[in-house]
Amino acid sequence: MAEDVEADAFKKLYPEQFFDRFLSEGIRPDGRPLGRTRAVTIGAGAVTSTDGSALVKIGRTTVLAGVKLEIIRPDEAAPGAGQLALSVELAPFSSADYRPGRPTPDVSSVTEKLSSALLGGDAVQLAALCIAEGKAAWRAVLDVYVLDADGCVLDTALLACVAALRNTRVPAVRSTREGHYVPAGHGKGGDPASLVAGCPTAVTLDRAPLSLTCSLYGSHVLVDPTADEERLAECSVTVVLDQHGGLQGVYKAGGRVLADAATLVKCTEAARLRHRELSGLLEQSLAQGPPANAG
Amino acid sequence: MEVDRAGPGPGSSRAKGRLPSQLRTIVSERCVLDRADGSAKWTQEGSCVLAAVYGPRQAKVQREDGERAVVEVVYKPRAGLQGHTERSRELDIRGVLEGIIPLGMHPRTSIMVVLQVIQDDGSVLSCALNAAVAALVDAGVPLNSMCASASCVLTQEGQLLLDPDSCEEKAATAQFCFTFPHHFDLTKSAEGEAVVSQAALGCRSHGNFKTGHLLEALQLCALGCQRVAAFARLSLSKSLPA
Repeated sequence: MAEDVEADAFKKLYPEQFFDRFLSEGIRPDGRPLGRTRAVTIGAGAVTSTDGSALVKIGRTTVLAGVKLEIIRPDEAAPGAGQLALSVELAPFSSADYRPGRPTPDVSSVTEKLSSALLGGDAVQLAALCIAEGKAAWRAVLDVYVLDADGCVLDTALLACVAALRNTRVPAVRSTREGHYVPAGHGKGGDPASLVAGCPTAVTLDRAPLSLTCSLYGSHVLVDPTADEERLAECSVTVVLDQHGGLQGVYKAGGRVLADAATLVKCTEAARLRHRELSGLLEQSLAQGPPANAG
Repeated sequence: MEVDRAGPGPGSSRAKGRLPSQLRTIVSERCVLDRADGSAKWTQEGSCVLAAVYGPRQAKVQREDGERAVVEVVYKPRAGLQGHTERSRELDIRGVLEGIIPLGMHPRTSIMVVLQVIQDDGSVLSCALNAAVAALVDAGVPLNSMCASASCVLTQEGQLLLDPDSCEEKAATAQFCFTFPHHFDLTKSAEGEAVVSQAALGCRSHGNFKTGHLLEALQLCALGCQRVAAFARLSLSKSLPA
């Protein structure tokens, strides 16, 4: 008991020496070797009131993503495309650093990288969300709630977004007498002849972007760091890639440690292995999870 | 004149014959603002960023750190309010600057760097980082090493272009921005040759690209940073009294 108190005190007073003691043995404080990632749990269809959702845990980091669909009039600039509205929120109980008021720049950073991964590389096919060109299209409102921020929030959020979008069931669309489009199943039965043909039934994801963050601490590369490790290292490389091995983003945050070509390649290779692992888990979870409610 | 085709605009220097690995003309002014501790205006032909440094000065109690200086960055876009992109860039710039400033030298202080984008014609993040470093030097903030930043893009034909303008960035498949620390080696020559480290301080790449493109872009940007470093040295030695 006294030893626990001493170890905690040592960790608080001399965090770097505490960490170095573990690194000299080749492991990290939670017992993982430097190259091992944490266990992943994907719960697709966790929230029944949405059109698609996923609750993802990577270690202790927990992110809940939900997709709600609504029919809107498409933008004049893009009459044949739907829209994807993304918002990321950090729950107050997610981390000890939370302060009420303005969201931290970390949240903006995660939002920007998520939208770049999902929309920038045409991962989400917005053109496939169109119902009638110029008149109606689907708008997917993707809300991401970070429930526990214990390192690698971007990786977990991206996986949750991809899982929620894959889990989304787009309801059939009915056209009313006035020429409006409404989701079928709303209001009275309506005759089957008014159902619009050729509507999307799912959100098409051309490529599944997934990411992996590695912290750079001294000469070591720590794969999938926890919040303590991230705070200590202050320097990380995030690699976002798709299932074909094409890179979609390489972000290095923090300048304490320099990253040469070898380190970047190492992080990229680790991300590739992780993508394969996560895709397998994602397929498994989507196959056995409950389908989202229709309408 | 094909104005509607994707690619460099008709007035751009690339259309006038700028090579793929050639930087645009750089102009740097120091001491632009009276009230700031240090300021600099960095122009890369069409892109212009004004940087002001306030510090090291007393930090607010909520933000101070007992053991080191706190770097705060404010990045204001040319038009509009700050959005997610701007806050994300603030975080990136802060990370890079924390890598070159010896923070332990000034505990419980804050070093605030304010960046205002005056003109945006591509490579703005690189321009902002270069301006921030020039302003830090102007303010007399001690630095471990200086740093230089360069951007490049991967076109749809698979070619890498250094220091793109906004038309090239819009038409590009991938954009890369690398920052490298540099120092001057006085053993090589009396003026000091700029030695750019082969390892990057900061990297921000997005789009669709392969690992090969990333490594080539790293090398191309290191080359660009060499020229930026040589220019920074020249401009400092001219503006500071002998």
